[in-house]
Amino acid sequence: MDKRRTRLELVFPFLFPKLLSSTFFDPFTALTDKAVEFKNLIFLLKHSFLVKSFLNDFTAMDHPYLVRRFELKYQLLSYLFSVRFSLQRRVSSRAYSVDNLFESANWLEREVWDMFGVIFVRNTKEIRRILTDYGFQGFPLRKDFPVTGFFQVRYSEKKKRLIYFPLKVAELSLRTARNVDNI
Amino acid sequence: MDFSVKNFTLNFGPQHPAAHGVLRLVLKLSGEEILRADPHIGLLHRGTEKLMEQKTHVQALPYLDRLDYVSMMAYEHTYSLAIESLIRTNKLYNRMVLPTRAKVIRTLFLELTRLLNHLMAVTTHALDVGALTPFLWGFEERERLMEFYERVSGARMHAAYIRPGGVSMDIPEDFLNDVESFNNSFCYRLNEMEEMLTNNRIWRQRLVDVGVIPLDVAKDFGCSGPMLRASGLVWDIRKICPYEMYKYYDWMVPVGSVGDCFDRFLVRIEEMRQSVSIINQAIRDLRIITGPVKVRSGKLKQPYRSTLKFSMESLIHHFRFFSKGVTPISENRPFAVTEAPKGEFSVELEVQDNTHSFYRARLRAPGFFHIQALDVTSRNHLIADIVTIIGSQDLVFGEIDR
Repeated sequence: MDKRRTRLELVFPFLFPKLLSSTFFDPFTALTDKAVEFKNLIFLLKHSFLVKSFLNDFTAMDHPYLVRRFELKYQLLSYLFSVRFSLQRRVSSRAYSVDNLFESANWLEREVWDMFGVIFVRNTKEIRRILTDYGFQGFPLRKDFPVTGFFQVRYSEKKKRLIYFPLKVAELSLRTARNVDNI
Repeated sequence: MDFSVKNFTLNFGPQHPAAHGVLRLVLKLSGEEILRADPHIGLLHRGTEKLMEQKTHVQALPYLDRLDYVSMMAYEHTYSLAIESLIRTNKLYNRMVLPTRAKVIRTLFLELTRLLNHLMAVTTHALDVGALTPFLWGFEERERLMEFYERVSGARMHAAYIRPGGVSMDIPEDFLNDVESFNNSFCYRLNEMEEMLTNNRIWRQRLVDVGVIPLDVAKDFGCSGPMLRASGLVWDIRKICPYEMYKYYDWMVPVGSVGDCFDRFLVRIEEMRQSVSIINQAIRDLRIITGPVKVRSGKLKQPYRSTLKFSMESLIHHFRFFSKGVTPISENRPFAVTEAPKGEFSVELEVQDNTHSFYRARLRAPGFFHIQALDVTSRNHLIADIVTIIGSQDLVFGEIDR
């Protein structure tokens, strides 16, 4: 593995010190807020002949008190060098889609849209909800979304189908483990 | 006389037995040929990631069992690795280092879990294609494997046996002899299954050259595990970045050449044979290596009850463990990736200061990526082939929908 690493360092000398310390478990991380920089980097990692990474995972995190609220995290994997790259980006509500670069991006972006409500523009494939119910409202993994949700579901004998109606139980979930105390 | 030909849209599932759970597949057909397959997933979505954010590090462990309910321990093991990386585990922190016996027991159970998963995958695949008998044989063996689960943890399926800092308790007496006798007889069961399937004319007609995924497509879709290896890449995280005892054992990575359903079947069968070999080596080691099965530190596990009465520090650890969970020492984003039976499973956590739950927990399920490739894989195939392809992808909706 070490021999293959050195080839990589020839291509990306500026990554050299960080790459030496990165392992398979501890990926090389780059954080950028500039769209152009991010776009160039991800393009380079994808198309460079010697690195040739693939999008292995993509996820987001919500920081509700920041202006750039969502932290997007792209994890790329180079099978050639067995190295991981983790590109992080903070956006407020919209980001450029990368599904023209990676086939695996479409569903991952659909999931992030579904769970966080981040809009992906310039997409080449359809981005619609994926994990939640048809006609679901809200973005469940946002921090301001309670665990119990806002609606409950039951089967209506009259309409012969499932219906949504506002949650009637007392709101307990705001008192989550996080807010109770700091022992 | 003119005919107007119209494409036909068909709902496959969510209650179809060959959909392996709750997959709703919207197929656009031209006659019997598939033009487009649009999988609708999420019917088993339980919000595991959101729920994990509400629990302490210890309480979140059993959710991982429920993800992939045919290979339970592989998933809780990945989570345990992630939690252990919270605590710096270098030589200076001697009390945090995992005992070798715990590592061997983990390896043993990870491979038993692989058998559990592949038995399910291969035999239900055969069932979908029309061979009922291997299913009956395979599930008899699975029952014996789940007995092993029960003997160490008390639960047949959702074991919560592998925990941060080791395993929950040592294996019982006579356990190794039983695993060994199972292991020896299992080779014959595998031979029987192969006699039934591998050179069977019907089985070959249904599988060979069906659902071919070329290597570059498999990589691009993020396929992993047997799906990727069947396409011809030697890629196994147990070899690339070995964890537990895999470095010390002698085993090989089977790869396919074409990437069709038959290759995936062969790769799974061969992986089971390799697992049998690893289990034998783990049994050999467990007979020699004795000692504790948990770390000494009270920061990763609950202290022994007996020490509670005498040691102030144990009392503090006990209280903190049950009120706050694992105490993070190094502030970082724990990340662990392992070769689960279905492919690459990774856990990524965000721990923030002064909290005893995760800010964010991300679970990368291998099946999610495989089913995304279903559309391109099944294009221009017949409708009967999609059953074969779904079977060979080894889908379990617990992990895909999370």
